[in-house]
Amino acid sequence: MASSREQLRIDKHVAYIVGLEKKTKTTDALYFTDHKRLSGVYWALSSLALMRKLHVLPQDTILDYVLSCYHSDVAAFSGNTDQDPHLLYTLSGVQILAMYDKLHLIDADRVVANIAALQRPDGSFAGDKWGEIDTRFTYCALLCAAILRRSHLLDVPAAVRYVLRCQNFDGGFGCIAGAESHAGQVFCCVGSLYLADAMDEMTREDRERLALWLCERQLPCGGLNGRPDKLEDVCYSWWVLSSLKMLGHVDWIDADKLIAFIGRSEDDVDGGFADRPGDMSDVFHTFFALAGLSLLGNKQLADIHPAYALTTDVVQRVTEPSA
Amino acid sequence: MADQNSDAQYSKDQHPIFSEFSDFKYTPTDPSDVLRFDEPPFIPHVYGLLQAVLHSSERSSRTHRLATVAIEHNQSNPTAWLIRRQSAETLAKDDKSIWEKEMAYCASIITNSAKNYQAWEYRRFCATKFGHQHEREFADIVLAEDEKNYHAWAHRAWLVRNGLRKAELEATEWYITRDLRNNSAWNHRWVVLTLTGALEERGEEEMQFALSQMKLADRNEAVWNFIQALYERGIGCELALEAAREAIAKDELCLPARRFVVWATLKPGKEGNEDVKKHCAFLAEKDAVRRKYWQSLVGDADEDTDEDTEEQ
Ligand SMILES: [Zn+2]
Repeated sequence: MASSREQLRIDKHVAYIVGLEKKTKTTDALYFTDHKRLSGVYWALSSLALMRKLHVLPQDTILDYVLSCYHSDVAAFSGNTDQDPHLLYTLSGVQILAMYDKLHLIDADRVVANIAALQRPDGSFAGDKWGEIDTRFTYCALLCAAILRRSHLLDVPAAVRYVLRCQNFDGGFGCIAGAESHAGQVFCCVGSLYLADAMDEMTREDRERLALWLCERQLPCGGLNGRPDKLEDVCYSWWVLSSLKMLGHVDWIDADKLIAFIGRSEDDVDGGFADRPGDMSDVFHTFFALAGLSLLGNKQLADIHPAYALTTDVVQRVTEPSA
Repeated sequence: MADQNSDAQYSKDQHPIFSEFSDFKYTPTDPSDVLRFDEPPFIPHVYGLLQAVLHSSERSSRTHRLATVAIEHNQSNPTAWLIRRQSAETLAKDDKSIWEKEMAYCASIITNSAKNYQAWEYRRFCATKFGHQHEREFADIVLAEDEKNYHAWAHRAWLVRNGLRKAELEATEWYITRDLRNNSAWNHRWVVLTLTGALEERGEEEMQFALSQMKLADRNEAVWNFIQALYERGIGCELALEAAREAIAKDELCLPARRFVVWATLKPGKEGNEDVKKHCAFLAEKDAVRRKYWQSLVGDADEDTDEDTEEQ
């Protein structure tokens, strides 16, 4: 449906991801800092999977590492080998295992039971035993449970009620009730409702209002911002688009202009994508750029699922009725 | 991360903190080779020691200092923050003034890195011990650097939920008049209005306030979202529609005003929407990135876009 779509430089991007292991002191250090390295690995592997090149990194080494972040005593993952478990990294760990079809390597019953223990009476989730409440953690909890086919171990209706309490007057969602709408949090909340099969719990008007709020993120330069009057950023290509996809309205934004904006953020010499044109590439924005382009129908890339944030072949595998 | 170079002078366990823990057995962590970046050589020792402390029952001034060293290297390390919290609770049994120091510590972290989740969370924890009396002022200090800081506004929302509501409506007005496009302030105003019951009290007066701010900058998305929310609650509807039509008459490119008129007057079905159709046609041309949205509202959308309505 769109014109002016240039070819992605897949080889450069693959080389960029593979080369990350050797790089230091680049902006990537920000995303690979020791405590969240597992999420960095997920972004790197997902980028490769979108380019259908997951095999270029050594699976055994990666799995050894991922499992070194798994704490069997509490059945949860930490951001790195030497860190303590947190729900954010349990999701990354579970997503990576799902990509490799190795979910049997962890004790799914206990993983989800421990996630259930993070749910508060009001339906919200904390990230760890001590941590704050945030709708990000609701999404992590529901997605882990969905991938592990154990959503019934969580109080899903209570989670849905909490998420709906975080919907604001402008149609968007925030991190807690009363916090300003932000596209990243909108993604987590819409993703949660989608995974809970509760999209209809929003009235039709609220859904349309939200979709409009998401469309309003697109600026004349083609890029998307995360809230009104803020700068455009490539990562919102994923958060806004995936939300619109779940709401059934990706067509409401100008795909060509967004594709062109993402294209201008691409490093065509060393590979990777930056947060906006002129900045330096990092793995985080590389994944979100590729994921956004996939949602926009780029044929060089595998299809990504808007709620699972995994390629659709993996989602099919984890959701098909078990034999 | 910023201190990496100065830290690098300590090889292995040569950081001064280790001399305090000579009686403690620990194993330096063994970081993986996967996607690994440089870190100062003593850091695996800090993490190893942190784990040993976590599994011990000791919470003391030295474990408190260890947490400081770990947080210095990585301000988001949840274990370090946990040990810090527990150590402070232990120290507070003898000396309540620790909470004031901890509040200052959080402030120093937050002023360097205003988006640190753990520091904000710990600040709230300390405030429940020390008292909330400085928290609005603290949020103001952070907002003076960045008036849209998400964490600082969430902090204020937390305060309002905990009953600190006095003069908060006036505070939002202050932020709004400084920057009419401050969506965070508009959102917070809504939170205060709805949590305190002031929305019902103020009624049309609130719409008048919003419209007066709109007139100062009429292409402002934030204020129109606010106006629309009032409209949907049946507050000052006629005033709002009149003001929107005036804004369009004055500036035909006032797109948010048109958007508001469309939303306020769109009727279900495709009949009786002649005025709306005109606005949508105008918006489809001038708000071109959302052309398909405006066309879809009045049933003019291209028919090639149905692919997104079916989910896999
Ligand atoms: Zn970004």
